[in-house]
Amino acid sequence: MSQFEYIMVLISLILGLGLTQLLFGVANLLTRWSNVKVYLPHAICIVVVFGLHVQEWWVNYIYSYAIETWHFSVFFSLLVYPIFLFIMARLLFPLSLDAKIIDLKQFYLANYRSFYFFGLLLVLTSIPKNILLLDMAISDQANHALLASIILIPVVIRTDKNWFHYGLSIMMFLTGLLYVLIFNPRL
Amino acid sequence: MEPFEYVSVLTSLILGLGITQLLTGVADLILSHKKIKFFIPHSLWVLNVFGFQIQEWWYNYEYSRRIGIWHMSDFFFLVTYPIILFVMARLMFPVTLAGGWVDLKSFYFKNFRKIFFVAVFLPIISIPQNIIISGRSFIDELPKVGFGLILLYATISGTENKYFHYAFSIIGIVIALSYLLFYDPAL
Repeated sequence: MSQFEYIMVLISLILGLGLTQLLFGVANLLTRWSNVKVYLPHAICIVVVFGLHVQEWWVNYIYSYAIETWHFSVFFSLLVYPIFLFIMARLLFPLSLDAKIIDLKQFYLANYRSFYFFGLLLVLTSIPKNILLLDMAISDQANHALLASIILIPVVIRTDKNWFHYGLSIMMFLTGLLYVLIFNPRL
Repeated sequence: MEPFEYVSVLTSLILGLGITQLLTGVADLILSHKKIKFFIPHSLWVLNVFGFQIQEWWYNYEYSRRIGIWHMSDFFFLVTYPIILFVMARLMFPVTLAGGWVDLKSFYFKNFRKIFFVAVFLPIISIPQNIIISGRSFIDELPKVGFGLILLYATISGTENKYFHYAFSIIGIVIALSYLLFYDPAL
């Protein structure tokens, strides 16, 4: 078993468990469908986090040839991204679905700052990872810096305005979609 | 598939599920943070157990070189450590966060003897593992003996001296961070 294969076992496991959180969460909402009040930005966030899980798993293959000797610090720097994704996936669903009406708008508005805080950590951890592990230029990270500054807004500002949350979630969805359409990275 | 690859599937799975317990617990605390009273030694122990899980998984790769022929006894010997870590991870969080305030200080003092009792088995298992399989000397294992004795003292005495719990949890984190920063082992 090569070092990369061993490393990917745990990383894939955590990503897989994050996906399980999302699928369980959606399935649980479906079983209580008649009691659920859906909120579009929340639904889009679920789709985006799902996409981020798959994208991270796909992109990780690059480390099979980018890294020769695996040190604990390198492994740890790769592990934090799936961990943040797992926590984001968990933050997207209510702890209990026992309430008569499950109002996802109310739930989203109560928790979106924690959710985006971990989203911000995702972007911030990926910048040094790209520079140090993949030898990318600092100037190539301008799009990440821009994304981080946009995600910082919902972390800092508390707002219940619908247009803000619709705009933010649609922007994130389109960013993910454009990434796949433009780059369409090969394995 | 080589024997080590086959064995590491189950050990990685148990470690992965232990990590999931911790991440789920942390995410649930974040979701309910408005009604949670945090307690620093509890938070640090969560981090410590997380560190133990990652370190154990990392260290397990050494057995791909150390063990040529795998017997069932070897497997049982090695799988007990992840099992103990899973139980510890499970004990770190209240079973339910429903209801009113959750005071993690009182939760910690109610449960630390159980957690530490389970943790006593970590050095009991890992010291013979390191000596028999990895070929280390007993002198190398003395810090673990000290760690086990402190755990045993706290379990038996049931001390609720907060300075002890602050110091013990902080020392654990400092040792884990020093391991990562200064030792940074290669796989």
